[in-house]
Amino acid sequence: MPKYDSLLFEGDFAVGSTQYSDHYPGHEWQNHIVIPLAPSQNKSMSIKVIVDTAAKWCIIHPEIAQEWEKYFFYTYDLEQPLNIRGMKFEKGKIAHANVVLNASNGKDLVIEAKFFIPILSPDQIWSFPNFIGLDGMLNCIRFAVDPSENAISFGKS
Amino acid sequence: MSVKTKNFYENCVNKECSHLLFDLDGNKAFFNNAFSKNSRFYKKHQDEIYFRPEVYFVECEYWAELKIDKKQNSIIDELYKTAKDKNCHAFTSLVNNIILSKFQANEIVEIIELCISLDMISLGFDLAAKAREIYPQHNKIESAYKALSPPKVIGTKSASLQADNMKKTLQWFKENAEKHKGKWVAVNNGQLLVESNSFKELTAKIDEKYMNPNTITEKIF
Repeated sequence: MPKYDSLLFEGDFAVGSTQYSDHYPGHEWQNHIVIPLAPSQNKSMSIKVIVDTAAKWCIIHPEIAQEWEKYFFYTYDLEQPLNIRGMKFEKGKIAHANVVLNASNGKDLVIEAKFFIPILSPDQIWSFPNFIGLDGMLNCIRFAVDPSENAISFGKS
Repeated sequence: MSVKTKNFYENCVNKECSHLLFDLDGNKAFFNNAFSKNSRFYKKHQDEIYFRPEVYFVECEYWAELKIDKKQNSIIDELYKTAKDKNCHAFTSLVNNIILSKFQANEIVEIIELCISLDMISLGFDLAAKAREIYPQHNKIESAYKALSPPKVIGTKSASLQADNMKKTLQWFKENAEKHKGKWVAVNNGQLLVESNSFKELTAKIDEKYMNPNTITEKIF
């Protein structure tokens, strides 16, 4: 159990915590905070996502988004192009999904998060990691990071 | 602009005619929502009607003569321009000062999408929230409002990860990711379960007993 969990849980700052990895698979040259995330449905496997406070949306690989289609609601088809990390997407959707920040200590946190789902044109190849952004998820939770233990704690804001 | 058109336009403005019209790159008439949809003009030309709030006009039969180039000054054009220039400050200021009721629903949707294209999600949401009060039946505005609504915490449930399992899995990624570049992998308890070329194929191959959050799936770039 991470050193500060009891303090954060008892102080009502956080409800759960887990260990994060410093790197996204295949992106070893960049430091990130990478945590598991899953749809809130039972029997769902987790994916890895970067906690990115500089990002607006939650964005996942289009192949994952396709498989998660059944979990999305409040879908809105965009008519204006959108730039994501320097890549222009002529088409895309905004949608909500109930997802879980999985905890290994304390409790999981279930969140209705907001995703941008890019629709790739035939000449586009997706080469970005999954990430959770500020307006998409992070600004409704509290979280704290302890780099000495690679522990991230989270709770309702 | 011809003298006749100019006089006509000025006459309309001077009279503070309450509705409508203009264009103009040419022969299109534009009018706002206060114009009667039962009018002969509307019925005759409804397919070519667009909506702009800036110019006012009553005698629509003259529409074809109006060639007033106001387009550059229109608020929407200005919004497009500031969005293109990524001038978020000017864009926000324009959006905050527009009188929504003077815009048609489709125009508001355009503005909301401009907000999105500038990553100004809260601004787009606020706009959609106001617009749905004016156009409560408009599907696209309602849909934008819901889609842009802020994230929220739904609740909590028992911890689903096993710390030891996760530790081993993170270690597996650290030591083995390089060997599986370009592949989708599923790992549980530090063991590779499946690797595949697509996420769909990967999930189809995974045994039912591993369908839980302790199984981490990922594409290794």
